[in-house]
Amino acid sequence: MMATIDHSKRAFFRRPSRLKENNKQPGVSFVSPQRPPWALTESLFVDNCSRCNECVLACEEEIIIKGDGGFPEIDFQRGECTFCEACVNACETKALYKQPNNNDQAPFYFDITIDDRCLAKQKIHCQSCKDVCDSRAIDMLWPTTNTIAAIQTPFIRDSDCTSCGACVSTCPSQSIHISPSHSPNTIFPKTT
Amino acid sequence: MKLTRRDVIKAQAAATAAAVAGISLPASASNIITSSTANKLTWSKAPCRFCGTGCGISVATKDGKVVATHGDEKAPVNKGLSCVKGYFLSKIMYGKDRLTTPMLRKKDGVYNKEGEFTPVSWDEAFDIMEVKFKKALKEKGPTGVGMFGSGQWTVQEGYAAVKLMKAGFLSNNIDPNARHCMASAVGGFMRTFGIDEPMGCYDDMEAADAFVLWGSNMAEMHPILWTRIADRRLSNPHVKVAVLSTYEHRSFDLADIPAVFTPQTDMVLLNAIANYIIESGSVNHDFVNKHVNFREGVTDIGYGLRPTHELQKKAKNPNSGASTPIDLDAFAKFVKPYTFEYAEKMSGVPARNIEKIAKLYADPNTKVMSLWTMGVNQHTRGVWTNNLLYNIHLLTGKISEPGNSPFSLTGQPSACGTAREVGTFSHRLPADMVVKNPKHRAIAEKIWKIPAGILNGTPGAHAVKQVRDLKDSKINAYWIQVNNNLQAGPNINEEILPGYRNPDNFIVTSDAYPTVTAEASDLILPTAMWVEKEGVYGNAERRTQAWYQLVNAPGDARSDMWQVVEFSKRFTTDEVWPAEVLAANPEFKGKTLYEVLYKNGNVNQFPIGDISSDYENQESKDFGFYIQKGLFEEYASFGRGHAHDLADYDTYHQVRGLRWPVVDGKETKWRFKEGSDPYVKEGADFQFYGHKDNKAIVFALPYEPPAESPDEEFDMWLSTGRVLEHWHSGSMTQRVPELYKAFPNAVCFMHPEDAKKRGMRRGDEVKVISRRGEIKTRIETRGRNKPPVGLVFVPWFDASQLINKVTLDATCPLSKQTDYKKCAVKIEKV
Repeated sequence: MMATIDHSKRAFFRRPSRLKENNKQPGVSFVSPQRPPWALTESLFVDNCSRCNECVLACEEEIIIKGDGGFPEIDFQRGECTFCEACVNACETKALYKQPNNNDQAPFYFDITIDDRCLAKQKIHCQSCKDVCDSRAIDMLWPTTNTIAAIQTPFIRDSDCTSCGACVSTCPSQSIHISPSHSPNTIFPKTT
Repeated sequence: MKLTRRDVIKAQAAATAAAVAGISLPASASNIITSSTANKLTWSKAPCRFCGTGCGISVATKDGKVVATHGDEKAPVNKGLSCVKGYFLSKIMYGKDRLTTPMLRKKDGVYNKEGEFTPVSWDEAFDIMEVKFKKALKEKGPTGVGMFGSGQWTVQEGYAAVKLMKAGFLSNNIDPNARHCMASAVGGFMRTFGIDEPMGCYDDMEAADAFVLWGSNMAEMHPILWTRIADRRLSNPHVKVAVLSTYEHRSFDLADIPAVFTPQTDMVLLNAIANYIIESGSVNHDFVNKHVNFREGVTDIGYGLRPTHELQKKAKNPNSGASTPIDLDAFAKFVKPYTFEYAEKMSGVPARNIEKIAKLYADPNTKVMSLWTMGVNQHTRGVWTNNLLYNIHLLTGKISEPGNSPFSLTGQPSACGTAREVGTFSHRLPADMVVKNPKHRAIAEKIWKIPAGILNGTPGAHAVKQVRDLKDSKINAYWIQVNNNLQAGPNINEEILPGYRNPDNFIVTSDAYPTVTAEASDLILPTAMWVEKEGVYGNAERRTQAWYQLVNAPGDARSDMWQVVEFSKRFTTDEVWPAEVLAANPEFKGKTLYEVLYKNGNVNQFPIGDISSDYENQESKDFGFYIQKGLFEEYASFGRGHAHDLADYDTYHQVRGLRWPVVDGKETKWRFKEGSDPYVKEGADFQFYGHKDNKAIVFALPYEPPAESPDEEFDMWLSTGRVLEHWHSGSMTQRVPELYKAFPNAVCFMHPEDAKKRGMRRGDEVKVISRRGEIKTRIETRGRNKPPVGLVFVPWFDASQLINKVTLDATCPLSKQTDYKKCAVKIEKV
């Protein structure tokens, strides 16, 4: 499995760091970074975020870092999001905003994939991701057809995954990837 | 992942090399080197360094380093598979804090017990050791010195150490850490069969109709064998898997019959199954009449604690393994009270589930494999529980046939090969012989070419007694090799650490890394590990496997065997053997132990030229002869012709291991069975030749309570154990970044209700407190282990959380193996 070489010169000039990250969606040459939970859609987020750094300081898990251009990003290699809302509460400009009484609003909008480097897929006994999954969204499935060397492999039930990121840093082969997709969260509260 | 053009070329080269080697190459698997010269990798075979499964590993070396490892496709044990630990094996030797020079505690340039560790030469290290060992031998005699070894010693290392201690220093104070791990299994085998180690083999896993796990979490601890069982279960719908444990774990994922029982009540369940077999008329009378004796064991045997302990004083027959003959009727009467109802009441397992398990054994058409490890062995009635397991297989005649197999799994790579077969225990000699027996000593004296009558007939101090003797200043010079007892031994603060830091004592630790044990010692010797030396391991199914030295050890690190043999040069017979023995055997006078033990015409009989020219051999080059082969061949002469036959040494370098007894070049899969075992006489069908009358013994043994149970103050059971990612005390696996990251620290697995009751949440910092000590850890209410209400599980791999400060040093009074699975604790919020 060979990764493709990114030819996007535009991305190269604008966001050099994007070139070496692996949070890339197939067919999309530029992806917005993983923003803290309950972030507005990317364009509104960038407009509203004052880069005050308060969310970075508020995060007890220390997984929010100052990213490109000083905008906050989440680095799941550092740990997991506990959804404690400290960052949301610290955000004065409401670039991070949890809408009251809206159960449909998710903290993260994302795709999560397990690539073929996964040790279990390579027939090597490993279940580290399952154990750290708080929402129990990872099942270790027995093979259904071929039962020579029956090793359970992980399957992520998207409906239960919260994108907390706990499995990302735990994975010994770094084969779990969360790629943010665009937040539909466009309702910006009046702050007059 | 973005790759430069250069990376792409490199990766393609690696993929080509991998394809040649027959492996699939993960895109960026971190233990496979991606370089354009990757096709210059040299692949060799070695057994895995970790557990007792004995997986074959293909090891790639390049420029003097191990660069890649993967499961050996030609290995019959694992057929190319490996667990996550085996996958990262290539990294265990390259931790940043690898020890490369001897380190001695010094103050103002001289040895001082309170000094700082200072690098010294091997000469200086041996100088001080020599002084301390000679002083202890002079003042206290042979019992003044001690050695604590390991089931991770190679066969040759363990054998060299036994010779130095038992034949050189005439001291039986040598014991392996396998005492903490396998001693009850050994006791069970010796008592029931009169000969050690499983009669069956891993092939049983493809033949059994039912698997019953009695205190073993194979899914994590023996994952490759678990895969074989899963294959069998998933390809054959009629196959049943029963998992019994004191808490729910990963093996329950495959369980058709799950059973969580109250600690210690496995004995009740086993007797209830025996009772059911009898009452349902399922006894195989033909088998029982021909091949089985019945005996009733002495009861109330204490808990292996210090004789001054209240529980020891209360016991009527402390440490007694005596028994009297009975018959089947008396046995039936003995187990009669163990009804399913009583068993349910005691164990908490619903009677209908006990019945389901009992029926697997009772049904003559179901082939049953019972499997167990530490849950049964680390048990204050460990030997008894092993006996009870064999009872149900013997009553039904389900033994020594493909699929009918009581199988004791092992936890260390050579617990069988070295600790048990070589006999590195305080009471044993090679090939199941014991020091107590004058005939056995005479055999050893003859093979070792030492004066007749010289060996010491009094068993030495076992693992737990050694640390008590250190604390009590009875042992003053002590050598620890390939183990981490200050982390692994029980009741650290009260029993172990005081002995190590006792000003009367000199403690030497040989290790590759600065473990907590090394740091509590006075002298640390840097040690070569795994494929940095040539060696032989023996796995749980009697499979003996050899490997070559593939790379050199870093710096001045030397193998345990080199250390032992080199140290023997420091002693002459006049210093350690009785004057009257030397007067009667003047040819030994003035000789060094090196000359007497290792340059004895046996060990030094193979020239260096016999070594494969493709491989290094540091020790042999130092000593001037092929020492690994010499030690092995001398050792093998103990077992040949005595049902422990090994093949010739060179054969083991060619094959992927052979299961002993190897007679006429043929290995043995099922012992005691005609047609499969060459030692069974024609027409005997079965022959349990470990006992003189060729019969195995069914023992009548009752349930007896554990040494310590929860009460009002200490209200929880504590069980300790391992996790998949780490092996034993973590001294190797904790240094592999990927494994560390996957499970960085120990946690206290607890039932959510227990946490709630105490106002605790997942992740809270807590203290686990017993009458002996406490540790700080964090609460885990989710994840792989799901204890029932009233029990917590804490793994012991984490050097920053020494759970053995909390555990109790109660042992099985017969095997002297510690019960790490049961003591009473309380959990408090920090």
